[in-house]
Amino acid sequence: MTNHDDVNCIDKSDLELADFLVETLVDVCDCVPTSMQKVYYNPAMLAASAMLLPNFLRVCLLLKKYALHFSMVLAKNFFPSLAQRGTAVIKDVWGDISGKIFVAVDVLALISNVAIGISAITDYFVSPALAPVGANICYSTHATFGVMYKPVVVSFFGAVVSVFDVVYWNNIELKPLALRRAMGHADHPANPSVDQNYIVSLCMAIVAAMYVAWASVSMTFLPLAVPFFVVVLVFGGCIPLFAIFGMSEMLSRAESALDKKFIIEGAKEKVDKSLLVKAILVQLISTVVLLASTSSFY
Amino acid sequence: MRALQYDFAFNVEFTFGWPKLPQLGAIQFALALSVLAFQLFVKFFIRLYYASGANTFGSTALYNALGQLKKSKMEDIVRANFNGAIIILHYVLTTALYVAIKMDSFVLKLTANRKFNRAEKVYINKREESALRLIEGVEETTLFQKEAHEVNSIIVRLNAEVDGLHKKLQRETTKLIAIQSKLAKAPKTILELDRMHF
Repeated sequence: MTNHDDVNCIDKSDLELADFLVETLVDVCDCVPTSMQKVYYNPAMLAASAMLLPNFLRVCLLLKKYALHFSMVLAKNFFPSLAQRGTAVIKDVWGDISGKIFVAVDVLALISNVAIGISAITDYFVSPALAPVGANICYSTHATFGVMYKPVVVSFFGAVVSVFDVVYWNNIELKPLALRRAMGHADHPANPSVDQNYIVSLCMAIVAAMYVAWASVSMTFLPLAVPFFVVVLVFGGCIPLFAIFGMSEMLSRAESALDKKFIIEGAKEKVDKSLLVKAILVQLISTVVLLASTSSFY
Repeated sequence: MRALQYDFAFNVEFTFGWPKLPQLGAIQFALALSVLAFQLFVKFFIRLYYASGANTFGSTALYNALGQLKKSKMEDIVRANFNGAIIILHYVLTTALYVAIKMDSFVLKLTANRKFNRAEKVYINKREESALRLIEGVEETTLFQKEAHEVNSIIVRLNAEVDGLHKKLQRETTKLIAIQSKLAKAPKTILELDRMHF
């Protein structure tokens, strides 16, 4: 630990393996405050979670499908009236509870997340406990790593997901019906996931502005994609392709085989396409942060 | 590449442990987690609550009762609460009754099965005993003879009654024929009656 203008600085030997983002900051900055240890999430872990989530949900849906099928078969044989009631309840679940409650919760969460996110980002840049000292490359790295600051990840990622849902919905909504069907978006919902009013629009504008600002700062590290081309290709291309689409294809085949074996008729389980695109978005952000973690190469 | 090295060393404590953030950061982190938890809890709780059918056991009634609570009159409030409580009680009692009936019928079935099995055994034993008696040919034959004698006497009595009835029928038939012949000779139409009298 060294001292720099009355601020305790991190010594590289004090850091754990998991703190590799802080290690990069130590490499490119003159002084990184000791309070910055363990303040970042690991981008690789975040990307892996985002990649595996759609297929994890798909597995859950499949388990539900088969569990429901077998419980209905048992119920029809032993408790016919209960089976009828069960199917009626399950059919009514989505119809009866109007999405209004969920929309209200989402809007409330979006506003809260944006407020907390702005506060956290301001604190991240203003607080002396989180401000490293160094040249421009140090500030760029610090700003790029901002998306992995723990309070920002939880709050702003939630807000980005909500905004992304609306943007994606609008994007599909504007397409003609025939094109939508051809693209496999025939089950596009009638309403967006959150209401479109002034407050929500303002929140969306703030989130979009923050995202653009972050993207423009992280452009500093774009040239690093050339020497680390293999890393970007594997981490940003091959692994997501396998984890998202490869596993999805494997699950589809497994579902077809199981449906044939157990003679189950009906639609196949699908996860929302926007979830797949969101996973790619998180993957993209994580790849950029990983690329920025090699900034000491400059 | 420390980043790639880390990818293969998943640190649970670092990922899920509470981070050592500055005070304000810790508050922000806690708030952000609370919002996320609230969002997930409301969505999943409501979905699970309705999907499990728990709403049919009194909650709908409670919701209706609460809906009526919005009315300003005190009487309505009291009535709504009372109705809601009564309906909930009804649901609870009905469910309890249903369970009790199911249990009772199950026990009854078991008891009936046991009794039937026992009765069947007793019946088979008796049949075996009577078969043995028939082979001996003592009590059963005499009983049969007695019964046959009684049946014969009944048949004789019935035959006599039938003969009496037959004779009665013959007498009535002759009477009927006489009435018919008289009717044949009688005037057939109103015109003939007119001619006879006027």
